[in-house]
Amino acid sequence: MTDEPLIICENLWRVYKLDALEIAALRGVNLQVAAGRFVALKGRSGSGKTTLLNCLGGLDSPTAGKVRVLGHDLTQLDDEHLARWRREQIGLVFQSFSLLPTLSAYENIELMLRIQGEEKKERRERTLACLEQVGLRQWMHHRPYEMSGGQQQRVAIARSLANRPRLILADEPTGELDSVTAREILALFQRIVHAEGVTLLMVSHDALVDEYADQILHLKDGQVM
Amino acid sequence: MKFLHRLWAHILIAVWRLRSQGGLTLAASLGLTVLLGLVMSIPSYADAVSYRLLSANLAGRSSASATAEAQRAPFTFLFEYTGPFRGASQWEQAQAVDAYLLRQASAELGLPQQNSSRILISFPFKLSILPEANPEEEPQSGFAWVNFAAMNDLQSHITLVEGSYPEISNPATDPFVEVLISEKSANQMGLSAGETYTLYSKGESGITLYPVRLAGIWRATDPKDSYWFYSPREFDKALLVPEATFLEGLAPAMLDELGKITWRLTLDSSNVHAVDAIPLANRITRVELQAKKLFTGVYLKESPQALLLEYQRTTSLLSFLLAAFSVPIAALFLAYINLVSGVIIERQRNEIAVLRSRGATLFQIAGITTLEGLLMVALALATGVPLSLGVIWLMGKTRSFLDFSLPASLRLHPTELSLVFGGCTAVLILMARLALIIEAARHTIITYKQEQARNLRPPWWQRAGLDLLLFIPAAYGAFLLRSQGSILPTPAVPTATAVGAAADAGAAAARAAALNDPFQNPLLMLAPALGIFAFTLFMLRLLPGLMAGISWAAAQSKSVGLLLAARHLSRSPSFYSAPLILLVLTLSLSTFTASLAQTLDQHFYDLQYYQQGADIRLVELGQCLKFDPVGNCDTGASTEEGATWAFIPVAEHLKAPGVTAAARVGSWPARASMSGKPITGAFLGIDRLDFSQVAFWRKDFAADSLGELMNALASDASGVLAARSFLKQEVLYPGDSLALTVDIAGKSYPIQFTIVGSFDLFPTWYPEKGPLFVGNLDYLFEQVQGQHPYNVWLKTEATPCEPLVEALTNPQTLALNVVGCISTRQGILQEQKRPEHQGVFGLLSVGFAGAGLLTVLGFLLYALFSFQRRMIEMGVLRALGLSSRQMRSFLAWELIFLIAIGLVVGSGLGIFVSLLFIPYLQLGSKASALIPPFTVQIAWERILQIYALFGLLFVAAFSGLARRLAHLKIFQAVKLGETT
Ligand SMILES: Nc1ncnc2c1ncn2[C@@H]1O[C@H](COP(=O)(O)OP(=O)(O)O)[C@@H](O)[C@H]1O
Ligand SMILES: [Mg+2]
Repeated sequence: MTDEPLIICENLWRVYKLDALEIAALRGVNLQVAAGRFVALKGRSGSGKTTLLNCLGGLDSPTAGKVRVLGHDLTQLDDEHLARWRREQIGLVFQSFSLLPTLSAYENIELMLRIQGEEKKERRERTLACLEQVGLRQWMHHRPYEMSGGQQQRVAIARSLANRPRLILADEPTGELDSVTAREILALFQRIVHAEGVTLLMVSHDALVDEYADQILHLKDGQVM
Repeated sequence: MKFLHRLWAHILIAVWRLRSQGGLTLAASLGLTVLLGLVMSIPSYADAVSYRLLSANLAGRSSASATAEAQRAPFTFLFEYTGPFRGASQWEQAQAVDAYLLRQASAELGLPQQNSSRILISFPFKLSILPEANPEEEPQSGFAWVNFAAMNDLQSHITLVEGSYPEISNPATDPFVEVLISEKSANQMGLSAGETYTLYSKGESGITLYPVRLAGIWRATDPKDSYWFYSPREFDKALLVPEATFLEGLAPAMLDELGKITWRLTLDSSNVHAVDAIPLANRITRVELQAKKLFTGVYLKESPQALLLEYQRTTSLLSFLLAAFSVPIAALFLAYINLVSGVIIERQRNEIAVLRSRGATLFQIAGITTLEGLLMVALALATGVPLSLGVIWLMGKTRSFLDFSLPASLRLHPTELSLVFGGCTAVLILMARLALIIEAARHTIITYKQEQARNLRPPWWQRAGLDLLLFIPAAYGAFLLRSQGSILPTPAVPTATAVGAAADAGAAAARAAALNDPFQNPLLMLAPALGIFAFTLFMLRLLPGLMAGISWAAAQSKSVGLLLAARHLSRSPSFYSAPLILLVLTLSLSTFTASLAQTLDQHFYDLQYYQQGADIRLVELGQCLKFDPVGNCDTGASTEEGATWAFIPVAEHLKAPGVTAAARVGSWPARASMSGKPITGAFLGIDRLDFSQVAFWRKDFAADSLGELMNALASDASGVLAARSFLKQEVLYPGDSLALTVDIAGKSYPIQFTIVGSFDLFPTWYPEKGPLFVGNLDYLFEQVQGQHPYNVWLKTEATPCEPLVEALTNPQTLALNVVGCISTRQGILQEQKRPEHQGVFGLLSVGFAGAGLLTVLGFLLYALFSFQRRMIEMGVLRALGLSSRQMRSFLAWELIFLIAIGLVVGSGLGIFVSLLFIPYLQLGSKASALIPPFTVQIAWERILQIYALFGLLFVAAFSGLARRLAHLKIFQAVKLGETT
């Protein structure tokens, strides 16, 4: 079990159909990611990074090929099972806007645990612990629009940790941040991966990532180089 | 050419863009069409109603149901002169006025004359009918009172039963005046054609004799012909002579020829329009004054003046009501426009930002969107006009609130005003749209964050405190109403007789009508709507607090959907304030409207029943036991000679089909001598057992129940019930005795009664006519030693009188002597068709239905849109792992909260405002329109129907959203949040 890579993609295709037009975003991706690593997925804009990440997170279903993540064949799971699988085992971080604007930092994180059906006490402790981990405990009652981009992204990271995932998928989490803040976020991710033994697959086209990642994959024309 | 080409290209783009928005465009256009249809229908409707009202008024009361196209009856003017005493006036004096009325009046009134007629009647003479009477001595018995009478054009309207038409006679040459006598008198007195008789007149100069020859005996060819505006029976005791005999033969010879002259003018009314009503009423007054000047004693007995003034009053009342009820509907329309424009603009915000970033100028964007707007509005106008006609058609079929069962009766014809209304609304919508678009286009790139921040702020009107400010005029209006007691200053409205009696009363009435213009204080009219609006906005201020409470409670549980929904509502008030305003406004206005309609309807029913007392009222005569010489029942016969009348037991009425109870009710004038001065009122004698079964009764008529009052009468035969106000004024208490003088058939009977109870109101009693005393009919008959004709009140399921009267009077079975019948239900059916009744109920019904429809459309639009707008949020939630059940519960709770708050707050507010304002909306021209007073009815049934409608709305909105949710592509939704 432990030897099996966390992520296995074989000949993964994703073709978008727009009326008559067909856009093949992924053209037979083959990929393996081992556990406990900080893996960066780099590539130009439009190279299919987001599409690949979506397929790995069960947010999108591939047109053809095989995706095995955390031992599950995602193509065999229906939407309900995928949702459940995500909330139990996956952490997601998006480029922006992923926090619910009407909820405070605390509430955004607590929501994750609530969805999972955790008890009240456990919810509270875990939420505070996650906030602590990203260093935003004193910001817990603030709502996203009162925080800076970096702070918002840290809350999003804290949220992705709340369910103690084995795998975190992050789509350009530093894309909208200045380089100083981006470094902070990258350092935070690095710390988390090493401290918690989580696996992180981060999409980015930021050169900074190279300094922090354990492994770098390149995506070009829908294929991993 | 190039410009046209460009324009066409732009139109194509606009159409394409509208098409690409599919459902939203459709919903918005539909809403716009409904809106414009309703807006345009109101002025056309008001116009059609007032036209019909005028026609109905001119056609007279009996044909109140006349349709717009029905032939209008011509105007009839009756001028009358009655000689004050014998010998006072001579024909010579009347000639000037005669010429004026017959030749000039029509021109001065400005109405073409259709025809005119004149009736001359002399003072009465004694006609000796005993053949052996001494021609030199005035008869002491065996005579009848008769008068000479002449009417123009008589010959063509009568049929001679016997003899021939009289020759023109002149007493100077021929001693006998040739006359006609009616068939009835001839039969009663045993006269026949060719006989001669003598007329006696005793004047100051002694006895004058007129020998007459009965040239013929007549009968009216068609008594229903309009010629007989005085029934032919009025001439039963007349000796008809040709006009020439009267004017040239009799007049010069007699000193006291003029007993009465009547001039009748029939004038064409077909060109009289609503605006002519008041000037015409004034001209009528002038003509009457002129006639008076020419010959004192002439007065205008009958004219359309009262109708014209009545019309003027009713239209002004009607337009007031229509305007008053349009205000809330208009407020609702504005709320709808606000919601829809908001939704559409939000939809276009991103698109506009894209256009802007691609270099489109503000002007270009405004141009394209305006073009789009114009296309939509043009489409809506094109469909709105026929829709508005449909709405008017429906309103014209209104029988009662939401009851469209009458045959259509309004002319369908859009007025200019309605097009203006429609145009203005369209422009308003376009401008609102443009303003929002320009506002949106000012930002080239709007960020999601900014947009969110905007939604998290309270809405602008809340920050400005508009809701609080609105309370000031609303409260002031409520205060004014409270102190004034009615939305209209209660006028001293001139009655028809008052107008006829005093020459200048007409002008005074016209002035009074103008002074009573209900529009003089529009605040009163706006107060209910303002109140509702202020409360609605204020409620939105409190709502986040309430939702925060609910969120707190939900946070303690493990719920996800409930918590998310509650938090969303407590924290982004701007986001849902538009739909909530719409919901609350609709609900409260619908509740108010429905309650008002129900109150009016109930009151309308109460008014009729109060006036008549029971389902059916019969006027009956019994069998006459004594006759006077002429053959009429001798009601003046004294009691010592025994009873004049015999009656079949009232219970016999129960044998008629459908009659379930019957009670005798007799009413006679009565006087109470209180502390010296007599107070005149009426005595109502009843059957205490049957009365409570037939009579219309409302709890507020007396402190005691009707049963208790009847028991009080039962406990004491001489018991009497009196108005509480009377007892208070005269310091009388139950147990005190009360002496009344009751006038029956010309005789006064002093009778002792004991006060056993009191009432505030009693069916058929109007306090302005003096106090009412209600006692036992049997006791009264005992005291006056005989029975007298009474009315019979019936409880029955049957509506029309005719079959009932037929059954009752059938000589084979019951053979009752029924001389009159009034069916309250029939009256109600008739009254329901009156334009003013229909006018109000038509508008209320359509406003109610339209408001419901718009709200449903608006809310669906909002629900779909709000989902789309929060697509990213939905996608993120789903990506985080919310199960679809949790997602659905989130959406459901949000809808439930909104709808429930709308329902509860809206209907609560509606009930509150109904209770607060409806009591002041009791409108009536006459005091009798206010008795009995309003009892505010809350239309629970309608409220429940609205609840059901909104239940359906929830199901529709929810299933629509759930479907969208099922088709939600997470990767697409999440992708929306990316900017690269
Ligand atoms: N929902 C979609 N529909 C159609 N084409 C899409 C969709 N999402 C992405 N694409 C196309 O797929 C390709 C890859 O996109 P994406 O995975 O977003 O790239 P990246 O994240 O590397 O910028 C692009 O050419 C893009 O235009
Ligand atoms: Mg991407």
